[in-house]
Amino acid sequence: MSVENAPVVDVDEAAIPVEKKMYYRFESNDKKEFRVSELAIQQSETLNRLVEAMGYTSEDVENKPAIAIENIDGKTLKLVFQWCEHHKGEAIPVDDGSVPKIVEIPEFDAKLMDIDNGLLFKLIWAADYLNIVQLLNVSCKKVANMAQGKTPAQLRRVYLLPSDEEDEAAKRAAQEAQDPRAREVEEEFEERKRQGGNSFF
Amino acid sequence: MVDLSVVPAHVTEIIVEHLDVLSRLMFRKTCTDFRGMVDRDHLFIKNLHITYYYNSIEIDDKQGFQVNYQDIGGLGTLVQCDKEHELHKGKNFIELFKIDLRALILNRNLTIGTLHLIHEHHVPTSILIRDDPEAEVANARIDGRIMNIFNDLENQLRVENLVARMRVPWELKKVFIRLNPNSIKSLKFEVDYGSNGLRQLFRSPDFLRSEQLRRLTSFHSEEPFDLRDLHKIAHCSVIEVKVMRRLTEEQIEMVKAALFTNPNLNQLKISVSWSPRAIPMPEMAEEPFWRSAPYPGNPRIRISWRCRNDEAEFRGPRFSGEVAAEKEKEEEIPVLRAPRNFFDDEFD
Repeated sequence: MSVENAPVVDVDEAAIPVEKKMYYRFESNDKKEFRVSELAIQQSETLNRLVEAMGYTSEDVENKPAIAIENIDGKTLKLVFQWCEHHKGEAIPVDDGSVPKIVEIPEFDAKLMDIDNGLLFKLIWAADYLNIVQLLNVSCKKVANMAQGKTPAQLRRVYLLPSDEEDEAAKRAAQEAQDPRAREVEEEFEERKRQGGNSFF
Repeated sequence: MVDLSVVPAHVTEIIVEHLDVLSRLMFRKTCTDFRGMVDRDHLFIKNLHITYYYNSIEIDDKQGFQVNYQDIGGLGTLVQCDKEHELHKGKNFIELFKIDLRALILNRNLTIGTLHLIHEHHVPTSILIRDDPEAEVANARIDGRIMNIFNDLENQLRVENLVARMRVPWELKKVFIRLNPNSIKSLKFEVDYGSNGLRQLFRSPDFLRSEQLRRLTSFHSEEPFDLRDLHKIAHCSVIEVKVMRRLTEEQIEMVKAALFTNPNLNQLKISVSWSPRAIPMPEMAEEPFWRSAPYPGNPRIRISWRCRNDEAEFRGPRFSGEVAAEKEKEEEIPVLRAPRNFFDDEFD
């Protein structure tokens, strides 16, 4: 089992009580382990509630198994925790309902998200799953920036989206795989239509 | 390979919220699901400026989308543009303009907060003529041009505030018939030549019936507008009109009679906009003074008016400040019913 330590950060002793300096252990679905400070965890509403409910002491953290996050792989979780450590202690933004959203991507975040699109989408998924509001905001902004000035065809390439035709073909294929008789019925119907009849009956 | 479809729908909506309007319209064309998502919530452009110059057209949404399509020596190429349009530089600006404008405003779900439509010069005919071989008559060709600027469907484009400066009245008329009258809250227009713009409004019954229209400002009317039509717009709470010649006392009486049909009146100003073509009239009064008269059937509310050399000003029951034109919030006064046959009644 590989262990990846969270980045070492300076902690303001005066601002943070001694008992808060606790590092929790988390494990991704591919068995990679991470240590994350309690303050960084506060950026994630989901994890924050989870550790509060568990009520672990420092001994529990070391002696009990790492908390498993089964839906997220190690590569993605590393990015998530790096982001949380960098932004720990920052206020969690509140949605003011404005459209379009005004979000600036900080330099650190821009570097962190300088990754392939597939991993970026996974990061967004993780930020949503772990309820990390600001990470979700900046990552969505990053994806939105990718759309600027693109045609629909270019957007499909950027977002790796199927076209309507491909989408329909995929759905049809899935339907046929589920019910092989469907195709036969459709062909029979088309044949009858060609012959002038509108109904099977 | 992981694609955007792995992201939950509510997160995709957050991404859409980060997009500017044009990108949102492009995004909705990528697949059926996203089309539904973008269309479900109304699209909104806070400001859209479309300006026609001598040899160029500019579209600007003041939120980062700004393109100037410039025709140099008849070459018709895009020469100045924002970063996103760099790729299109040198391409045919007429086609690009059509594509961008259509992408922006031909969506039924779109609402424009304020549309600034400024004709500094005639619309370059090469841009807007529809390829219609049957449109041989001049007027038909004119119609054809306009059909290409705006939505081909009448009364579809939702605009809350229109600021328009046109060269000739028919341009304004064609704009009116493209707008959804139920969305328009304020109109501000100016016509350089021909008869005044108000007349075009008087001929647009859908607008006159729209109770949403509360604020109206018309400048540079070439001739005194037909005062008998004023009652048609008397439901607007704030009206400001500039005319080319002073009103006579008879005309003032006629305006007052029309205003008595609107118990919700805030303010009406009719001022003279002098120009070399204006015909000077003898001065009506040296000193401004206010007079007032009660509404028929309701003596508790009154209309006040005064006539100075170049201005006739009327204040109704809703008048609440010095600069009513800028005041959005109006105090709650119960809506009163207008008297019937108001022209037959005699008022104080």
